[in-house]
Amino acid sequence: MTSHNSHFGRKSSRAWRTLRGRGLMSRAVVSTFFMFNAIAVSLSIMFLLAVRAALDSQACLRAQELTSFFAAQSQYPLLVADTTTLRQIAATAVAGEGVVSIRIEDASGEQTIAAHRQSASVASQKRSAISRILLTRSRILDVNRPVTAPTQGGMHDWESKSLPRSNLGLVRVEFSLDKADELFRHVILRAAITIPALFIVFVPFLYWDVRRVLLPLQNLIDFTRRVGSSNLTARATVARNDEVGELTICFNQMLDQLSSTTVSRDYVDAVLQCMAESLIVVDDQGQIRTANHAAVQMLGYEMRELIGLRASTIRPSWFSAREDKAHVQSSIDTYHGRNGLEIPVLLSSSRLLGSNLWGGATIWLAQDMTEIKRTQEQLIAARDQAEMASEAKSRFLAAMSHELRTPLNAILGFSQLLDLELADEGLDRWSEDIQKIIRSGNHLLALINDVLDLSKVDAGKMQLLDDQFDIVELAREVIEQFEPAAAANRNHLSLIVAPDLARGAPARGDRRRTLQCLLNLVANACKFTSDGRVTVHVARQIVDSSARYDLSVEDTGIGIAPDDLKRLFNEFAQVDGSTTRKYGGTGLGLALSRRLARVMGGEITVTSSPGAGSVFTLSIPRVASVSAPSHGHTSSAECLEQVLA
Amino acid sequence: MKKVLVVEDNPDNQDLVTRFLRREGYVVILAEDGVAGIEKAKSEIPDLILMDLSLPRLDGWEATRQIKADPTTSAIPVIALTAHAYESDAKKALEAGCDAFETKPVMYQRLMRTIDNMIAAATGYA
Repeated sequence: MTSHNSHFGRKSSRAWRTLRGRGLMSRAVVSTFFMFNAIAVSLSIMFLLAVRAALDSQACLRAQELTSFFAAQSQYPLLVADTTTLRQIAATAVAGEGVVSIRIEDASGEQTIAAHRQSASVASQKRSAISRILLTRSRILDVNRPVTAPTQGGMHDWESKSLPRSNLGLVRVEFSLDKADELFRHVILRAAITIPALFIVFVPFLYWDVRRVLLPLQNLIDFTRRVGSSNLTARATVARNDEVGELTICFNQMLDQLSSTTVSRDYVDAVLQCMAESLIVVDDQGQIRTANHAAVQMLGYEMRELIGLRASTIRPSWFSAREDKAHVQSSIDTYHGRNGLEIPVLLSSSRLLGSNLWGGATIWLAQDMTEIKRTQEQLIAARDQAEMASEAKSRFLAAMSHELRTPLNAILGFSQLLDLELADEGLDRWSEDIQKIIRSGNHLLALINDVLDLSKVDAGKMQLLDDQFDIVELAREVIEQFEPAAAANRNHLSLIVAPDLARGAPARGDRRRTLQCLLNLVANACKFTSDGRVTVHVARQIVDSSARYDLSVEDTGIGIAPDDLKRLFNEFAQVDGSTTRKYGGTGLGLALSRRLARVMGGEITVTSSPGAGSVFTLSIPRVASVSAPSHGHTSSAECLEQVLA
Repeated sequence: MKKVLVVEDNPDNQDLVTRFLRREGYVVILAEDGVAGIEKAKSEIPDLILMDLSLPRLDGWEATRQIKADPTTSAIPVIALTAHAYESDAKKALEAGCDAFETKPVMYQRLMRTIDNMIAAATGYA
């Protein structure tokens, strides 16, 4: 037998015991049994009565026939008073089966012939033991038959009866009903054997059938009990297509309904115990009623110690439930655990609404803030440290700038003075040397400025001004400034403004930084181009529904190899060391310009091929707040007025 | 002859600026610190003041503020001439009352152009 079968067997036998104990089964069996018994007994009695009546009537008929026969036999002997024949008739009669005695009387009643069966008592002794118990007394049937004169001519029976003279005598026969009784006894005996035998067959069948009907019901009862004590997720198996099956389906539907609206206690308990937050329920008398695993761990008490503990023991700041509000309140509080351990917690408390438990209760949900607080403190410390470091760096850079400029002031200042004074004297012998000093000094100054700007951009401390200016004017200013430099390399420097910007290109942003970027690009173009063209294009673009200005600086210079393009915007990334010597520059210009452009919300892009020149494009947003194109002109007019005044 | 007051504590810078200005025909008056600068401004009433900002006793920002607060000296244009080259420094100087802001190292042409413009504007204004 497999384990499944044995399990099923145990289950059903247990179900069975329960059912018997409840009496539904025994009642069903007993009532069915009794009903069956009553029907069987009634039917038996009716049958036996019918049998007996039939046997009796058969015996009676035979007795009458025999008596009539004897009466007919006795006619002539009685008529002639032949006693010998009469005796023979009597002897023959008592020899017949069932005849106990015969008595033949003549009409006067004087002459009587009687005969008795000798073996009558013996026959009764022969009766079976059962017969004796059931019927102790033999029954006798007494039949009289008058002997009439033989009919002659067309005499009718009624005439013969009506004539007393024709009455010859009387034949009286006593019949024993033993034979009928014997047969009846046999019937009773057979019934007495057959009916219990039928019962023996019927009762187990009855038992089995009732059990078959009731077992699914019991299983459903057991299932209901399980559902009641645990979860609502289980469903009973629908095993049959009858009323019990229908009941099971209805029960499952009820469970569906229940489980969609009700949460089982197991589920709630599991949720509470799995929560990372400490959960405590306090009744209005100030006693802890419920605590979860997290609370036990946080506070260091055992669960049984915690339940029933005064709530103020773990939360001294709490006085009474009267202070607790119906809605959820969050606060930073301190829990006191075992051994005076203080735990900073983020506490959410709320009245337990919709419950009359313990006459009102409050739920406390607490999150351990120890780690968070520590991390927060570390973060604050780290931030402070970073800020201090950043401040120190800024102070250092400012100091460095100041300290570098002071000696550079003397170097550049006296070089200029020397150059001027020597020229005054007509001594131009050292002029070239002095120019070299001045160039190096200027280079150093440019480096200082660029390094400071870069560090400001990197530190996010680049302060951008909010100027209103015109992009075309700005480009024109750059062109004018570089005309001498372009001429030195025999370059043709020109400005091309898009037709839609002919009336001006108002922009809003940091004018000086925009200028710095464009200056750098044009300076580079002029530096790396000779006997060629440097063209600045100004155009307006709409990118993602916001307007931008594109300032493209196109040259016909030496161009840049694809590999060098990649590191073009890195610091000190001039294509090779010799370039710096040949063309000058700090090596920071493009890196700084691109960063400045990005800080302003713009970008610098480049396309180039060696020998064919380069196109550097500075793209900066035109801030939308500058709406009227005339606005720029107005401010220019105002400036002019101020200057003139 | 236009008078220029140079408030500067560094002797080399004093020498440099003095010689620059004399080349352009200015009369130079020197002051070594902020307090002396205010006194010289009041006593001499120069046509222009070149003010260093990092100065002993009283710094250039405060000295400028006092010069600009005094009605006798408030009309004198003050050019801050400093090695503090940050935008914030320029802003602070202009807020203190300086009329222009020039950074060190000094560029001869540029400085002279600024001085000329300032004196021209101030005299025109007067």
